[in-house]
Amino acid sequence: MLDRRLQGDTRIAVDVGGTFTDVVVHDVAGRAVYFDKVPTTPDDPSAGIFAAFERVDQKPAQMCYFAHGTTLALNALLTRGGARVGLITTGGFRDVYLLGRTDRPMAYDFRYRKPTSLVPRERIFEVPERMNYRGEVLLPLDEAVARKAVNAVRTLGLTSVAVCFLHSYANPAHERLMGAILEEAVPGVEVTLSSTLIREYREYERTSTAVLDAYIKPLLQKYIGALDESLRRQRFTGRFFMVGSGGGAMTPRSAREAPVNLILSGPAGGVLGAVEFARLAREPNLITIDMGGTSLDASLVVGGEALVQHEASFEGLPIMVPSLEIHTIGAGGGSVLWADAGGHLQVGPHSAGARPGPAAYGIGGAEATITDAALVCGYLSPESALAGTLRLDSDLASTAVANLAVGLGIDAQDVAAGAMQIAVTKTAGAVRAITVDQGYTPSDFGLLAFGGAGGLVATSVARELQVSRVIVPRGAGSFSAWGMLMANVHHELAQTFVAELDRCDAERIDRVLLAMEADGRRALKDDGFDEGKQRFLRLADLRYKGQEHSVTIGVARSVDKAEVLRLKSAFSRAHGQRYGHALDDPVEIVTLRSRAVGVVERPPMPKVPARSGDALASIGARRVYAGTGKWSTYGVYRYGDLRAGDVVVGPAIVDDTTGTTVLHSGDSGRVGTMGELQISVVGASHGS
Amino acid sequence: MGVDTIEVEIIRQGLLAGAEEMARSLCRTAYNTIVYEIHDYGVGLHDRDGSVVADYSGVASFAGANDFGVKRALVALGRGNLHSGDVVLLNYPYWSGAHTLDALVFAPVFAGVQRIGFCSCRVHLLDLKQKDPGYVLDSTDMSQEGIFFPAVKIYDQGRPNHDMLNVIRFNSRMPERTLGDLHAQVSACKTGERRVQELAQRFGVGSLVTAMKEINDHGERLARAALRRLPKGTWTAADYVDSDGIDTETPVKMEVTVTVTDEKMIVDWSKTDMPARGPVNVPRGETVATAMLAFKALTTPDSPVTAGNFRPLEVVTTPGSLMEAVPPMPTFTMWTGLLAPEVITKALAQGMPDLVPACSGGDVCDIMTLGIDAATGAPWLEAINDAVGFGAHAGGDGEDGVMHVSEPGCRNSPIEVLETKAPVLIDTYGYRPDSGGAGLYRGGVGVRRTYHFLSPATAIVINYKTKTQPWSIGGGNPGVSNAILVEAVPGSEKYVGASSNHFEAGGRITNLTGGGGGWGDAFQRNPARVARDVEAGLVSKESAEMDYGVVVDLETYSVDEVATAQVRLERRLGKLLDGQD
Repeated sequence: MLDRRLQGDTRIAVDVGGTFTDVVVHDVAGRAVYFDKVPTTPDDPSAGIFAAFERVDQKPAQMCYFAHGTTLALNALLTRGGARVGLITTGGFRDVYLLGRTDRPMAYDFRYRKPTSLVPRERIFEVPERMNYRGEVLLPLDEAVARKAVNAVRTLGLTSVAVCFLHSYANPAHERLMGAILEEAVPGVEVTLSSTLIREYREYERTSTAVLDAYIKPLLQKYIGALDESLRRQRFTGRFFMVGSGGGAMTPRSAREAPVNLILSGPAGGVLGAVEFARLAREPNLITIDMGGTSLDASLVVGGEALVQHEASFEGLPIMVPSLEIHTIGAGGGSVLWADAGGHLQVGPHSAGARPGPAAYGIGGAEATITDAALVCGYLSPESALAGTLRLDSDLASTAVANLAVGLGIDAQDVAAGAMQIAVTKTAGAVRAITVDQGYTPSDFGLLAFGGAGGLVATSVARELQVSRVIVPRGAGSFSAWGMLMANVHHELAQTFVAELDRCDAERIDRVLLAMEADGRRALKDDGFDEGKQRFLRLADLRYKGQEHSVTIGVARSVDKAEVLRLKSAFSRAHGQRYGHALDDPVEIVTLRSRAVGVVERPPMPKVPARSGDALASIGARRVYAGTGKWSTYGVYRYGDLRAGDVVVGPAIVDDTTGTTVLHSGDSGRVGTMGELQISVVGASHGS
Repeated sequence: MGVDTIEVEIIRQGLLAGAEEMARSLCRTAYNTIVYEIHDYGVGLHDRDGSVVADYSGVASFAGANDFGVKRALVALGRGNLHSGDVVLLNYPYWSGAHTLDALVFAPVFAGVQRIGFCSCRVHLLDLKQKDPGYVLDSTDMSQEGIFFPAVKIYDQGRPNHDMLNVIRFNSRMPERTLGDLHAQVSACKTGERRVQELAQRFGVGSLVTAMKEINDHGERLARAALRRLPKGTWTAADYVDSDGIDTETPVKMEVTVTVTDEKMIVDWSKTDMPARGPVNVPRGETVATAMLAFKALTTPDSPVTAGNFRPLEVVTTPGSLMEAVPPMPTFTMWTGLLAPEVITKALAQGMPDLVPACSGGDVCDIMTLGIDAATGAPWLEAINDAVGFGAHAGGDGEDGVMHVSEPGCRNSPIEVLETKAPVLIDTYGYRPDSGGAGLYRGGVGVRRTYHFLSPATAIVINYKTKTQPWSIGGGNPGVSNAILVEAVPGSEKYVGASSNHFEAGGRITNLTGGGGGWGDAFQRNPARVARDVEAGLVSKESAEMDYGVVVDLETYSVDEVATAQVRLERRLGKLLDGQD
């Protein structure tokens, strides 16, 4: 054992969340995988990582592979805890970033305020220069003014600067010149050029992406740099990757260069895990729901692949780099139950969070939450092991729910059961938004549930969506960390290229793609992937001329006239599938994309043995209230007792150290060879 | 009791999700930027009587207008004449509550043979043979405003009505994009229909119908609870539309009397009893919808729109007047309706100055540019609404540069997209400093955008509030008015209001949008906040001294306390002396 470890064949992943730091160890030679968790250390998150290493008795010197995901970038954005950044814009366009798209999400609130800007107006500087949309220079960059702006950056002591010029996606020369002037005159300043992140039009969204990158760069630079160094000091010689929002692993170097790609680093792990799980379990189509304390993330695996979107929005701020299509809503264990002025029960979207937390936590929370409702209904009990030392207090939960019930004129247990139902409906709504809205039918998918509260609602959500199978993987609470072990290295390149298919030059398309692939090949080589481990994917965003919304279609290895024709028909098919109709209109290319992939080795999922000896036994029973005056008895099982082939028949509750899974009457669960619980959901037959 | 309120909330979630899905479907499949970039649309789900139960709108007043239009169409069609699979097109202004191009498409939803509701979708279509391309500013008769569809079935029991679609195809200057957008509306309605039917299947028709009723009853309870907390009384206010479009010199007066009691709010426009000669007349549907907007913002801004919210609202208009156009009165630029909500709040501000904000920049500040692309010979058209400053209020400053109160979901158009599509360069786009009204709380600043035409073009200015200033509350200063600067040939400059302007290559037009009115005495404003505004460049050093009595050091952006105290004291003494005169 010791010898093997010295060879460094342990793969490890750490997912640093808001409350807990999850760790997954894959002992390659021992063919074992195990999970654990330690509290997150917000003041110095890397301390939590090394504590996690100790908890699982692993030394960096023994690791051949370390994958890491973190919510650090997202938290810096949410708490406005980033750097003092500056922004340099094209002369005449200082306010593009502050204005945004000028819409107001609160339609009837005339006191509306925009989200707090990451850079105040006095730190936005204009430099005369101008390109047109073809990338032709209309006005050369005024270097004298540029130097004045740089002086201001120095005087104000700004540590990080974003540069976004109009039409830089078509010609980045001016941005590059500006970057060079900055780096020369202000040594040590971090610079983000919008054109290095994005080669697509829409100046506000591109600026927002660049500003966010600059905003979190010093923090992430420092964090990743220090982590990298600590690992080395502890004689880590393996490979270290950060998990990016697009589901690809990033080398520390590329993560430090473009930390904006780490915004979804945390939730991406769960989707990657789902992709790998889909392969292992031969379930190519999965809906995933990851429900934690404050929010719920829903995502899709289609044909064994995660879906990638090219634009997302966080806190009302758009980000234009690729990210996994993850739909987040404010529905979690901490979502607050409240009565509106018209006497109706409402759930969320605000959350009691970790502090003051649900009333049942007994740390000051007085408002009833979903966790309290689950406790009142009996899905959870004071005996439920809830991530470590936390114990639930039934009396506090009952009091909070009862106080609310008085105002609503409904019995307390009906309030609790109603709140659970509303949470289920909201979750189903989030799933509809990513399936039905995109032309997918939920009943064609299995539902993979994880996160602390995912299993609590999964079977009910499935029933509502006519999904007949729910799968809860082993270690559901740490599933995201497991998924991080699966991340391949991605480099996403894109170039706006507006051309009508009928008139376009096929060779030019090929040349642009080849040039991007050359860039990708260089990047992968720098990451240490030799040719055998390199994969390239070609994509094009196509649309009907005149329309705005595009569909991304795969492109062949070489592009000729025939391939252009094929693209057109592939686009029509995809458009019909997604939007219900195809047209005779001309089709145009908007963006060419290249994804360079460095393939990492994936661990096998260890098998759970079949049962030998005594049959599976419940460890007790709970009285559960399901509404309309009905109480039923649910058998309680411990996840750790399950063996492959075991059957759990609902009504039943399966408690795990990281979460709770509920099977209602008629639902039936079978334990798979990977320890996953496969539940067939009653009343959700196909196509009904 | 008897109603399962929790089931109602679950059904409401389903209806809201359905409306949102309709909007997403619309944006994905629409053809014109006015829909998918600017979000000039309104979608709704309605109960079987046409009362809206869920909406998702870019233009806030569309929710109310859709409700009005569906109900009016039901009268016109006869209740028995709607079948499953029918899709109806309505753009007859007097029935639909909007001008010809804001076409309403709706479809009944059936569960078996029983009609259980409606889906509606309104967008701005590009061309229906109105007398001028793009927009009409000076019609004097409805016959100049395009072809009307007075609740016509474009789908009849699932079959497309090709005759009717051909009428559109052969009567539009932009048939492909107009029909494309119409199809997008139909798809959106189909999406909504499926969602409502699914809810009926899952919960039962009876439960769904009951839930829709309870959603409106609940909406009414929310509004009444809010109404009871408001100060009671009657207040009158007037404001002006720049002109009727024909006589561009003379402003048109809009006068309203608002009464708030424990039971209802009455918006009475009967003092506005004359028609306008030009197209600024408003069909009653639009007048009602804009009163709904003001009422919603005052009473229940945080909850979803339902028809029940508006049961305590009564709107009084005189047939044949500016606020209730009747055939054949022209209505094309029914901008009067966009200005109306803030005439209502102006009246309310007299009785509840702490509860309503001062006036915003006051208009949607649209400039529509169009021409023939020299390279391809194809016509192009782009419309951009620019943001305005919002009015300050008792709780703080008005927001800088956001979309007018009537169009919360609308967005500006990306410059890079615009320049790729049209032979136009934008020379500058940003905040308009010193445009926000000074006050204890400052009005938000408006914006400035300059278009530079690279080939001959027409710019239609659609802005009816350039002659009056955005009003303030409690001694604040008014905001700076909207202004549009035309430079048809380099060196020649003139300000214009609503107008159609021709440009040769090299011509420029600048849209300067209004700032919000201030709230309270500017000389009481915290000097540090004034200094911060100066540092941000939103208030000039001169304005800080003149309007706020605050002297700011431009080196350090700190307040010169001594000089400030002196300026403020002098001003106070001056006021006292003035008072003695």
